[in-house]
Amino acid sequence: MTDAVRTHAKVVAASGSVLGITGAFVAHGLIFRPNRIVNADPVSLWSALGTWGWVLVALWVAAGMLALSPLSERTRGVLVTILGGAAPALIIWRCGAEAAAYAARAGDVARTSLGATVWVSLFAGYMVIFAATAWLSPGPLRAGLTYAPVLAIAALIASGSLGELAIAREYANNADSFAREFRLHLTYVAASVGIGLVAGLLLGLLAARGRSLEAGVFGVLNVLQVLPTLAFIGLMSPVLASLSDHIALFARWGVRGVGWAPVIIVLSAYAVYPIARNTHAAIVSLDPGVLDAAQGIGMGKLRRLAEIELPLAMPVIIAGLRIALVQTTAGAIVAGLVGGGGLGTFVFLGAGETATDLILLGVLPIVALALMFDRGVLALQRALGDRKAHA
Amino acid sequence: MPTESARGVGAMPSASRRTVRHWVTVAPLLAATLWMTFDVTGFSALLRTLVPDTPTVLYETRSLPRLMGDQLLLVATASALALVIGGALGGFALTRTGRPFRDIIVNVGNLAQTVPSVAVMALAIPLTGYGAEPVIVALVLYGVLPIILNVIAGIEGVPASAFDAATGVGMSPLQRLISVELPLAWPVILGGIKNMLVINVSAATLGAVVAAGGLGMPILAGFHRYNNAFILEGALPAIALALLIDRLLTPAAGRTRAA
Repeated sequence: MTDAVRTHAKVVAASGSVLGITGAFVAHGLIFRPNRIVNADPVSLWSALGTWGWVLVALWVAAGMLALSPLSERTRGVLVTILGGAAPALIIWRCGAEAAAYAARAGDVARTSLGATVWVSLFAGYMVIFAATAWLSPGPLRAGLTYAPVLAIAALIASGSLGELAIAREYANNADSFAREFRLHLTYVAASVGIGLVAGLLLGLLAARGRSLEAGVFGVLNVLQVLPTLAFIGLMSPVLASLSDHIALFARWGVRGVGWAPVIIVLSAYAVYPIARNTHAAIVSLDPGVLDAAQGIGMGKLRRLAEIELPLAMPVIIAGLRIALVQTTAGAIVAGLVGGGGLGTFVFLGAGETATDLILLGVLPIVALALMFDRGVLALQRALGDRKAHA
Repeated sequence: MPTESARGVGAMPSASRRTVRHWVTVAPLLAATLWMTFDVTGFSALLRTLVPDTPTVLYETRSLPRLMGDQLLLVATASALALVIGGALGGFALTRTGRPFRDIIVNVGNLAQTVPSVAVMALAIPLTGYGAEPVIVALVLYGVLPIILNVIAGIEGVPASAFDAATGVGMSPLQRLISVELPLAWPVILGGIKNMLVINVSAATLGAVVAAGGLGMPILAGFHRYNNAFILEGALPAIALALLIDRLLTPAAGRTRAA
């Protein structure tokens, strides 16, 4: 960590808190509707939160001032990180409470939606925390402080105190189908990344065996990578429909022109590339001396691959897996368009009736899953000793 | 991000042979795109051969030249905006004032991959209404990322020796940027432009979901009405267009794949 980076963090943290303060006063903090259809009545967080608005502004101001203060780096890091996380957590908690109060006043059909400035405030909190953690050394303290607001919001969701927010109401109305589509979404991701991992490893190893094989493998994979998602699914659809018309086994498996089959084929095809690319790159950059030594002590090719080459290449291969996981989690949204279900179902239903909260019911879990995969695999990379793995 | 492998320089073809090879792949793709868009009789004959049992092979609501026009307009407008905004933000991150924000810009750029582009289109509807606008919002947001990342990677990748030499011969910072840094960073920036266009062609196909027209329109209609000919009518030109842009902007030998 250079001195420049530590000074830079002051600017970023202070900018984050200015963004948070600004966000508190701009309209579209909370949106109250007497019912689901009627026109919205947006108010700023400042006017929505009452006395708590003062607390919110005080938290942002304190975060900004402490970030610029001459306190010791560790103290500053700890305090600013806590404040940067407390502000968004406070907003979510109070918005849930305001929604409950509004529902009590205006009846069961009333809706309270989170407005744009809530998301801006979450981003401001992210900026402050991102900057302030630069003053802390890696370890359980930093990790705990970084993820504390995430846990706090998760706890609020679990406790049911956000239950009157419109997105929670959408969830309550769709609880059964949500569980089903969520599982289906995860199944698409697991199946496609699983297939992509096996195919990517094999193709990456194959490409590492020679220049013409490399050109062939990546020639095909590059083309697949470029195909527009919806067009690629569209291309597979007639092919699969005709396969299932002519081959009884496919029909029995439920392969059709729409549904899971084209989705998994297309997502797997996209997932192969980052894994194959990284496998190939890692294998060709191995130190020839190590390989010679392995051969020298009489290792066979297969044993050398399993015991030397793959373990050494593993961090880079896992970096490819991380890209594939994030990309597939987001990409599986299209299944909802082509009869495949998944979380995209809610997004496209919501887009049809301009129901933002229904759209969010699909989008937020996708983003949360993708971020979890990203952070999870990154932790795995670091555990495997890849210190250079960067966020 | 995919890491770039070391490539030998053994059999480097001459410049003219590279140009020939480049156009040999680009020309057929260009021809195919134009043919599918404008030769109604020929393309519908192909669709009828591929999907023999369909009564109507061409989507009746909007003709192919118009659909292709929608698609190109969405991609061109959004990409031009993204290039300006992304270039400005990338440049800003490299200035002294912007320097503190470099890491967070790159980090946000990477994290944004977790949000599907079609979700951004859907969420933009309350602000923009249906039509081209939500698609342009989403395409600009997504197009900006590869530009920022590649501008930063490109300029930072300029060797210190070139930078010092330019300063040594008395160039001003602006002269140095224009005649040394940008030309050296150009292959990486071009890689970013290519990524942006390829991503945008794909995302624009999904614009049909929010009523923006484009080649996704017959594809979606085909899925709703179980008409495979409609699906292919949109899918084949969209694929040809994406491959055309990719091949056109891929230098024949110097492979720059930065993102």
